[in-house]
Amino acid sequence: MNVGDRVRVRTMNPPGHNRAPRYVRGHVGEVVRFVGDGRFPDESAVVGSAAHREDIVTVAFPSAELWGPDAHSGDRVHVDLFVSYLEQP
Amino acid sequence: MSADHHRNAELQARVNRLLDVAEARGVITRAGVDQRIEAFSDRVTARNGAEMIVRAWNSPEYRERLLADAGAAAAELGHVGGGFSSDIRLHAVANSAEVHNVIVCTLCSCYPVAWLGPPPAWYKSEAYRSRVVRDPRGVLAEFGLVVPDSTEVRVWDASAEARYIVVPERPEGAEALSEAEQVALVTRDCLIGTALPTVPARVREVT
Repeated sequence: MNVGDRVRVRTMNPPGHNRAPRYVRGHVGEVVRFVGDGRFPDESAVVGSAAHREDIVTVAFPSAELWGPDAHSGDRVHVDLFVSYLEQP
Repeated sequence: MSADHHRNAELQARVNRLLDVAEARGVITRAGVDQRIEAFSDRVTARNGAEMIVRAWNSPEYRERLLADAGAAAAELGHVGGGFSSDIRLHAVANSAEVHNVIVCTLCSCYPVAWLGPPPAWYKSEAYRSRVVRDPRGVLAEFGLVVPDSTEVRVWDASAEARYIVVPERPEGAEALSEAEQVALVTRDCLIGTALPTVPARVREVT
């Protein structure tokens, strides 16, 4: 996954902890920055479980992609996402 | 009032019991806890972030380093991060004539505490967290900040291990002020992105 790539946040509804805000699931944005890596929260939130480390990227979503034509065109919402939350659009 | 007092007393008793247990098991020392609280209330304030911004206003080289690696740039000024996770990384986002930045954490209340101090209550409110992503201009206008149509608004939702700090532009007239005076212009809200630094009229008249 590289800066400039278009990605879609997976449509998902896991029963446990998850750090992909619901308002971006299913939506397409552009990777604008590599953040680094971190303990995967879906696993680290479970007491006693070992969490693997995973890369995090910042994805920029055009406001209109998230909110439709009422959004101010040109505005963007940036969300930091673990890469396994993302798929090819 | 007596009800409040009663609630606090109950909470205090619970905290004391927890501290006793943690100390008995060697998890903490009372002195360590005191040190931490002292550091928090005396040294962890929005002044840390403001000093970074003002240094960036006055040094293009520092500004470059701040935008490339804000954590390292903060450490240069002695504002070391840390906290509960070594994964926390600071990232600075710069305002310009074309771009206005504002930060939020929609999932909880992630906040650059080490550089801005404890967050204001409204930052943690559901109203701010849910509205600023879908109507940032409306929310900013309620703060008294009207962003021109031609300026792009960038919202940064800190949903993973990064924390964000906004680098506002230096307002006109501020160049005539000392660094200490400039630091006073950069309020906590300027670092969140819900305000812009302004130079008091008195100073503008003199310059």
